[in-house]
Order: sequence, then C-alpha cells, then structure tokens
Amino acid sequence: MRMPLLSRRSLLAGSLGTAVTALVARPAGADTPRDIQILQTASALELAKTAAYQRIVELDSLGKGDKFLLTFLETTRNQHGEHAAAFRAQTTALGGAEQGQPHPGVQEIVEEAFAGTTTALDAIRLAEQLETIATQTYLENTTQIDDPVSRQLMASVMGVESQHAAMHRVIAALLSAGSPELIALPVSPAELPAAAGSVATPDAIEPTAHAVALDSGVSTGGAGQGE
Amino acid sequence: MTFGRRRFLAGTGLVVAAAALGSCTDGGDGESADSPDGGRPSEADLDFLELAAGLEALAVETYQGSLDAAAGGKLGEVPAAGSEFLQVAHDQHDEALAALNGILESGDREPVANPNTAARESVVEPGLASATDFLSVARVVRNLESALAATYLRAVQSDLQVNEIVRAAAGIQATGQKRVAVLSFMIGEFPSPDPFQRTDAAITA
Repeated sequence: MRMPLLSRRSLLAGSLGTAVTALVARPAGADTPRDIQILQTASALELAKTAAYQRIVELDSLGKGDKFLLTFLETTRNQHGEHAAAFRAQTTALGGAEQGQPHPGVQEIVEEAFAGTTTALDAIRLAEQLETIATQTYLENTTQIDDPVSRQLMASVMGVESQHAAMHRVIAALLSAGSPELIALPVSPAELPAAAGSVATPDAIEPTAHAVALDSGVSTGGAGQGE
Repeated sequence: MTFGRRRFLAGTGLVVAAAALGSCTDGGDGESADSPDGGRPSEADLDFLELAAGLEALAVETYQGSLDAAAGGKLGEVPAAGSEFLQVAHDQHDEALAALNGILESGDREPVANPNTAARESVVEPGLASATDFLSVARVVRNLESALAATYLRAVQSDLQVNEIVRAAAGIQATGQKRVAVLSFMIGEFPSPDPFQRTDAAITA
C-alpha cells in the first residue's frame, strides 16, 4: 500500500544530488529482495553508461565542433555517476550489497559498438540506445518496486534518462543530415531540419519494450550479498 | 482523436488497467497481481487521472492555438522543426488524453473534456497572449510541458495505487521530459541541466 511520503519527498524535491547521502535506511517494503535486485540492476546500468560515455568523449571522431556536444556528453556522464551513487546508496539502505560492476548485457552492447571504427554518429546512436534501455527499464521498475523511496528515486532518474535519449535522437538526426554545425547552443531554430521537431518523441506514451530484466544486473551472489 | 481508444490502451498496456478497473465495478472480488491492492483504484488514482486529463486537454488546446496562430501568420516565419514539433506534440497530447479518459470511464468516472483552467491562467495565458514568434511560443509550451512532467512524476512518486496507472503516468512523464529537452535546446538552454527530475513545477489542482 502506498503511503504519503511528504518528508521523504522533500529529500527528492529539488536537486537530488545533494540529497543522496540523506537517503537513509527506512522500513523495507513488501518485497525487499526484489527491490534490492532492481536497485542493483539500475546501479549496473548506470556504471555501464558512465564508462561508455567516458569512452565516447575520448573519441577523436567527435571532432572539434561547437563545445556544446562535448559539454552535453560530459554532463550526461557525470549525471550517470550521480545516478549510480544514488542507486548504490539506496541498495545499502535496504540492506543489500552495492553493485559495483557494469551491467553485463549492456556492456556487451558497448563492446560491440566499439569493436570497429566508431564514428560520431555511431557513438551517439550507441548513447541513445543505452539511454532508451535505461528509460524503459526504470519506467517498468516504477511499477515493480515496492519501497517508496526507491520508487521516488527511480522515477526521478527515469525522467532525466528520457531527456538524454531525446537529445541523442536530435543530435543523431543532425549528424545524419550532414549538419554537425547545428549541434550548438544556442542554435538557430530556423536552420534545423523538420525532423528535429519530431524525431525525439515517436511515442505519446513511452513503451517498455527495451527494458532489461529487473534481476539482470544483480551483484554476484545475489541480492543480499557482497560483490 | 488520432486513433481509437482501444488502440491506445492496447499499445500502452493500459488495457490491463481498464480491465482491472472494470472488474472492480461489478462487485467481483478477484485480486490482480498487477496492483499492490488488488487492482482497485483509489479515489486518489481517479482524482489524479481527472487532473491529468484536464492538463492534457489544456496542452491540446495550447498547441492547437499555437498552430492556428502560426497558420494565421501571427508568429512570423515559423521554423520547419518548430511546426513539426507543435503538430506532433498536439497529436500526442490528444492521444494521452484519450488514454486517460479511457481509464476514467472504466473506473465509472466521466471523461474529461475541459482544459485545466488554473494552469491555463498561471502557465499558458501570461506568455501566449503576447507571443509574436515561435520562440515565445516555445518558452510557453516548454514551461507547460515541465509542469505536466513534474505533475506526473509527483503522482508516480506518491499518489497512485494501480500499477498500470503508474505505468501510464510514468510513460507520459517520460515523453513530456523529452519535449522539455528538445524545446530547451531550441530556445537556447541546456536540455538536461538537472541530474534528477524535479517536482517543483507540479500542478496540484
């Protein structure tokens, strides 16, 4: 049964980055082992993405265009680091073991993407794929997780991953159109192709077809044991 | 309406929610594994759906007004990406409204047709009345989208009981956040400045 969470909500309102350490242990929900699995999998996704972004920002193929692209990628990488820290802290708050390893399935996707020559467009498409996986996984998690604080965290992170995915779709569209100069801030809207207005939002309601299994990134040994 | 209601429900998994709600209105006592309390929507669920539907109706109205203004030449030269965005957002909010109303009807509540007047007065009208170009409109709808996404987030975080309604709200929240990012980029602001989505702009009534 869900409960009003005004006091805990206040932790999550505003910048959660400053409130991560305030996510303290609280009475566990109805299915704590499953909640811990979900949080460990989310941690693993964030760790895989953080590492992937680090490799992306180091690519020579990103070029020396407007600094916005690099700033966006670096900011996104750092945000994933904050997400990982929040998910790991909440895992321990529920009595579980922190997940310190990247998600194996997502890691496989990353390695495959970097196996050959990785163009800027390849890299952005990879990033979009990772963000879509995360968005749809966390969306599904909001219906599966019992612990109220964990769900607050999951939904808040999901909203940001969705923004990342949207911008990657726009950036990919601009790269595909041969217009890297438009990946800039500020941009002249008049110069943007029509696709930039629709490519980010193919669905009125975000689906969950690309969600990973909630236990696909658990710590070695299970939900309640160490890494 | 762009598509039929059943298609919305099937496409988003909301047919499960509608079935769950329907089963609650015929005196049945079957439990649903998809909800922590057996699939029965609380008054808070239904109240939120009414609020959300009113906000979706406001979004449809706002985008339609913007499209009309553009067609009437009141916004000057509207960028191709801007026109595309306004039309797609209009249609998708119409889809979301139909989906929410479908669930409301399954829960024996009346569908919502009227836009939320409080948000219209506080969020939309101040900026839209004086808009003379696309960027002015983009700022208004960005603020509206931010408010809607925050409203869905807050509900997912606290108010909702039935999991399929949570999924619908979170799914609409996710798409709203995408619009916020693209609009922010178009108006020259960083598209994702916060590491965690905020609820400050959430609408309560």
